[in-house]
Amino acid sequence: MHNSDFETDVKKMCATGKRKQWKRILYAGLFLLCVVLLNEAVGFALLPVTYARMNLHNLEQGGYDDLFIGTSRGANNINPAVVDEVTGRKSTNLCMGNVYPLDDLYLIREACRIDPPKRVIYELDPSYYTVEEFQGMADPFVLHEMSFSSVKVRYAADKYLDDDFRILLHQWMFYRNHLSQAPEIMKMKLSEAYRNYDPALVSDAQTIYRGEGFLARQRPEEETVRAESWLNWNEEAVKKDREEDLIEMIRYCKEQDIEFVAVILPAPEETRTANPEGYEASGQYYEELLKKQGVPLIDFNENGAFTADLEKYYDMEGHMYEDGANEFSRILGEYLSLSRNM
Amino acid sequence: MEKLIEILEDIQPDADYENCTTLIDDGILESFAILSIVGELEDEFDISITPAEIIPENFNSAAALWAMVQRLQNE
Amino acid sequence: MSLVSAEFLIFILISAGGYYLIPKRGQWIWLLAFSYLYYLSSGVGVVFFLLSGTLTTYVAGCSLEMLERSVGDTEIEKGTKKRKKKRVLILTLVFNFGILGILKYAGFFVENINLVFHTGFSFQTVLLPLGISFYTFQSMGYLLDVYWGKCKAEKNVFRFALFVSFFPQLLQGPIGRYDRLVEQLYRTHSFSMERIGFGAQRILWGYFKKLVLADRAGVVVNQVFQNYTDYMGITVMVAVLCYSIQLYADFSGGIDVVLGTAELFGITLDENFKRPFLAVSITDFWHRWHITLGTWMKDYVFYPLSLSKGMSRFGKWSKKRFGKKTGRVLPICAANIVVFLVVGIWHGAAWKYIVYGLYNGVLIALASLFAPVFRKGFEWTHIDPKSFGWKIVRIIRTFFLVNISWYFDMALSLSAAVTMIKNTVLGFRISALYDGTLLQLGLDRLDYIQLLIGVAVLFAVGILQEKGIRIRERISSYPLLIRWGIWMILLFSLPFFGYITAGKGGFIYAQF
Repeated sequence: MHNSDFETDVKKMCATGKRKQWKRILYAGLFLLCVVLLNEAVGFALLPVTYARMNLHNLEQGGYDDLFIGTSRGANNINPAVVDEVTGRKSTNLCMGNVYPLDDLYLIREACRIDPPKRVIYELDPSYYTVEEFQGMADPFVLHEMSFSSVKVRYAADKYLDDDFRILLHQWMFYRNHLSQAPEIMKMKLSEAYRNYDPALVSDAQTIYRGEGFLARQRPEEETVRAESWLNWNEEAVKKDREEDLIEMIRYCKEQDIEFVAVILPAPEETRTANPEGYEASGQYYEELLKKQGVPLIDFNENGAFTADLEKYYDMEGHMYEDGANEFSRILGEYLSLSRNM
Repeated sequence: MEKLIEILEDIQPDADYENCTTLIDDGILESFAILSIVGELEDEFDISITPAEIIPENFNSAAALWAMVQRLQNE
Repeated sequence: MSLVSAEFLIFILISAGGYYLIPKRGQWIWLLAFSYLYYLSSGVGVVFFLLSGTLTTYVAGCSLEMLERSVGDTEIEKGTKKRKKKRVLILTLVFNFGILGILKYAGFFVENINLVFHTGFSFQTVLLPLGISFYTFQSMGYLLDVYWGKCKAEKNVFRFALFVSFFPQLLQGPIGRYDRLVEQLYRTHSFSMERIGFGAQRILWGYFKKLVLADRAGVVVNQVFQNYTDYMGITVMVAVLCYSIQLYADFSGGIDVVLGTAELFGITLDENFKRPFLAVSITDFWHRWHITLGTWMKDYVFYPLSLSKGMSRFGKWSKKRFGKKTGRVLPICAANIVVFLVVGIWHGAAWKYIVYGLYNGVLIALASLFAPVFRKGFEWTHIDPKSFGWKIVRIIRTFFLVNISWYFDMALSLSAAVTMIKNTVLGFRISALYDGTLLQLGLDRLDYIQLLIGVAVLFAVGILQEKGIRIRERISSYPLLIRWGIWMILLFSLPFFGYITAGKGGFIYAQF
């Protein structure tokens, strides 16, 4: 074979090799695209619509003076509309169930990204510092509902990076057994109401979403028996990393020049008398911890400002009916007005 | 060489030692057999085989084994 | 950094992506940097162990070679040279295995001393530095190779550091060999989408084994082995079978992820598993199970020990005492039992592991000692030992023997293992299979079905591989839709059928 022939042959071979390589890359990319689309589709069909979507949508409108963050008790017991009547400020309630100090920290960061509030009122539930957290994407999917920003990326990394990769990649995984509800969920997500953030979508006969994150619990026609529950307080069981998240929250607010107030919501009298030491000890524990950080704590188990009759609550844990919550919110508003003047 | 084949046949009868060149690679000889062979060779030919010699190249065929024996005898 | 964590995926994405973007000369340095980064992610303090192991072995390797090259032809000079070399070798071996031994076994010794002498010493059990057994074995293998002249010493300390720390294999092996690995690590690698595709597919297969099979089977294993006094008969047997699934799927699945990751860099690591449950004997099993540990033990413990002066003396004595044939095998059997004792201890510091090792070693030794008897038996009964039917019998027998060894491997303690074996035999009730007993071990009916289907898939793939079919290459020859369909199903089986380990502390919020 002539030398130059050989060279062109080699060149040809290289060219086809390269073309083949590009084809392979293209196909790999297409395959990944299909995976992503399919994954999104399954998520669309399986992940239910939650009130976190409403709350984060509220937050994105901006213009809030006061921000309530905390747990499901805060969501049921604090009505921002009533609080605002007393304080004369504008507030929204970001309290949600299954939301831990780390999530709260990123909710505050998200608020600051959009429009920094003047004050953060942290509803502190001591039990959230001791229980095991559900590993995975738990209702109400705060991360999922957050719009894309550096805050969201940092949040995802901070919370889920060292967990099973499926939690981040397939957030719908925990709803895989709910395929039967998919048609209903999809219909809801395609509706006009969904695009308009209609509160009816996240309300039912028991709980009505009243706007600004207040979950108004309705009294049933027949009084139900309340399951027994009380605070199991054990100082040794406190998870130190969650406490660090709380301290970071306080530090961050200080840095952003945001006032930080902590509140412990009143438990029903019956629950409290079942384990008075637990409430006292946990209240003291957090009072001291917060004092070190220079943060005031309003402990409604201690100050007796709210008469915690059991009939104002729908469970022993301390979730109130709407009327109880409105009464409490008025008192809370008065305390918050005071705290501002302090 | 004949003596060597005899030893191999005695330790593990069911192999074609005249022609096979993949005694190790195909797993025909296993560690127990290898060590038995080593022991017999040491006695028979008065040589000393170190762990460093136990590599596939030396054990894959009767010819390779024989070459190793002769090399060690000359040392 | 766990192999199933999101950060691991990001880590391999960045490391593999950058590997092909930077100038090729820097590729191995890139690998070294990411290997140390991986190691550092498990804690800064532990790097001290990795560094000390790397440096001592590097220096020892170089000085062994320098001694070998040093002039001197007289017998006396040769003798001193040999002695000096031996001193360097032993010093380094003792130092490195010493660190491993102290970290791994000090607690065990203190505990047993306390038990025997009724003393109350305490030893703070420290977490083992990441991958210390694997890199220690790997680097000590290298050192012995240099000592025996099987390979040249590595002159570049950074190159040597990469050989010791290459990150995919740090977590669970395979234990690499210098001669096969070194050239691959330092060679430049061009981007090949085919290779990367194969790597990704292998990682996916590993995740399937781990998430769909191992984690699910592990639920039953934990429940029964942790509360072993509560369970009898078939329930214990099911748990042991589940342990077969769990251990194989977990370990070999992890190795698949490791090998797939290495493949992303164009590096082929040694296989560690070859369908172990198709083994026809315990010897065969160890040629198929944790292969790199087995061959390491063979080359660096079994052969040297068998060829040592003491053993050769024992061989001469036993030949005189027991005749040529038995006498020849006896020292080999003894060395073999020692090897398996070491394997047992390697698994962990506890008496049950020692029994686990001895059990394997003794079975192999017996098989070898009685081989002539078996041969006669076949002649007498006219059974063809090479027939297919007999092979199946042997596979089932081996599987049975291996499962007995799991009792010792997984039980809480030696006495727990014995109790469990006793309970298996004495509490045998066939009704346990269908009266719902098995549904109280943490898995529901659907879980068991998923386990069975997963095992069937694993088994089918195993049979195909045993026939010499390369699965990934075969699939890549299929039409696009079938090919994509297969990988898509495998991929989505992870979130759809993979087991979900609940709370971080094992606490399940009933959501489903």
